[in-house]
Amino acid sequence: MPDQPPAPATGADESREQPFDRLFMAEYGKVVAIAHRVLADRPEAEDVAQEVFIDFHRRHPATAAYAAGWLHKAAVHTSLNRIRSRKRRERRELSQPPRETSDDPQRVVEAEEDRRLVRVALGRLSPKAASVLVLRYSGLSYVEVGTALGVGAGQIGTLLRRAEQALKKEMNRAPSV
Amino acid sequence: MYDEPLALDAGDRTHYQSCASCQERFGEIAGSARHGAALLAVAGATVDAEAALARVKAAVGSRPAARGGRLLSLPVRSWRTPALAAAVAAAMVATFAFTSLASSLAQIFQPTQVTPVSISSGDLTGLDSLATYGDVKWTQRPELKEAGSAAEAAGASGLGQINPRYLPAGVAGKPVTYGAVAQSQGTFTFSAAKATAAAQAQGKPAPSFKPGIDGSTLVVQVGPAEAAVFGDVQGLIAKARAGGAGDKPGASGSGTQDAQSALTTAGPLLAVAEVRAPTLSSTGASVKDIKALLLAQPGLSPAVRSAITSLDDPTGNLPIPIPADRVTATPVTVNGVKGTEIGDNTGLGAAVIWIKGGVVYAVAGTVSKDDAVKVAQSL
Repeated sequence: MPDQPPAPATGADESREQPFDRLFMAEYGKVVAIAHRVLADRPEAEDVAQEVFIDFHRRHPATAAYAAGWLHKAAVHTSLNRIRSRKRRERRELSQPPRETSDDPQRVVEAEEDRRLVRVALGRLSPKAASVLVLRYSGLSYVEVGTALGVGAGQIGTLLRRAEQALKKEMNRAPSV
Repeated sequence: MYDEPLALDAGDRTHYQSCASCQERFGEIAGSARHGAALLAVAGATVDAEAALARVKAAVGSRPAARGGRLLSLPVRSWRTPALAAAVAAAMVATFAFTSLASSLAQIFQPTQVTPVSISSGDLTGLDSLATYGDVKWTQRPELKEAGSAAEAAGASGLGQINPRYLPAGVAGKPVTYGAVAQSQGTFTFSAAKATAAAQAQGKPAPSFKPGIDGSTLVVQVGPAEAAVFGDVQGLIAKARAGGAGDKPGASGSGTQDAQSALTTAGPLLAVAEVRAPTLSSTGASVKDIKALLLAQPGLSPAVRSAITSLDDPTGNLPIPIPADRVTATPVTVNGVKGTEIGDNTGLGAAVIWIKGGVVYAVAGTVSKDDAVKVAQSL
């Protein structure tokens, strides 16, 4: 006898929504920061954060012990997927206003070039290397980074150093886009 | 030490103060870390979490949500229903088949990249006679088996779990049906005698086989494979059954129309399939010989010739047939590899196909092309 389809969930399930609200308020800022770190585009980062939370809401209970780690990792991967999309990347880079306010034009050019290349280089790193960089520089602790990536906190320092070297290497080979 | 300075105890600090090697190492690490941090620096900003939560709740308000610890709710039903089995099997093999024979052509190799080839139905007629060039046998027939979950399907196929992190609104939260197909194997043995007899029966000249081709056997291995179908499969089954109730045994054509009608009216459906890239080994004929034999056939269209020519050895392109008059194909990058997206954004139908790590991936369904790509990127 086949299984029966599940009864549809009601929108007014307060016992479920309250934990989700608490999770959202606790983690939304971090998820946006992670996406922003990858994308360097604030509106798109908020778009990614919304997508990640909707996906989580659909598939996981808010009380899951892995909730925060899942959200952090999903924010990195969703953002990396976006920068790997050539059209979106080009569109975003074209729309980037100069952020450097230095009086030195050479410095402005170099800074913008670095920011552009680092997004290209990030997209070329292995998912783990890119993730450890983004999560750590987004302000997560070693424990939080380890939880998101499923590795021990004791390994994060080594992974971080390797990822920095890999990023540097990719920066040196990143062609102009 | 650079990232967590407070983790150092007094003994370590004392050692560091007097150790030039450690200080030099620290300088390198600190420089690397500062460089990385500077590259990834972005402007700080505050977030309006309350407003964002309201937007998210509005977006998810009408969707079924996850309950308990289960990732997905699984109303698994029998896949023995021919219409569904055919639909899912079609989605799985559509990655590399436009005719049974042409699929064998693709399997001559270990393709690493998909390439769209525009064709029309008339393009394939030139290949018809090839079916008479030998004997086809299945030594391990493909058999679709249902699975209760993504993990179960992955366990059966040995491939990765199908668990997209993005699903279009039309199929998000809908039931998911999983299936897997074990590796299958077939052979095609060239027979000059059979080819000659078939040609004579049709009043055509006997084909010319190069030495070594007659009697050689191609062994094709396909799969294993697995698929997940997101959407109202039960509705599809019911509609297909209702539409096919009046069919008579042996009738053809109406079944296809019923299936198309059922697919159109069943609501959004999305199939995600993973198939181990097909491989082929030969007991005698070389790839070059087989390509020469195929290209020698009269009546091949330029598109089919191009498809055959594009096949390479030992690795190469997997031609994806594109009905040029009905859909368009454009290149797309999926998770770092080149693939092909087919269809448009009308929601009537779209697909994305790519090969990565020796596995052919396909996302197809009654969704927009943008959504199909998003699903592909989220795998």
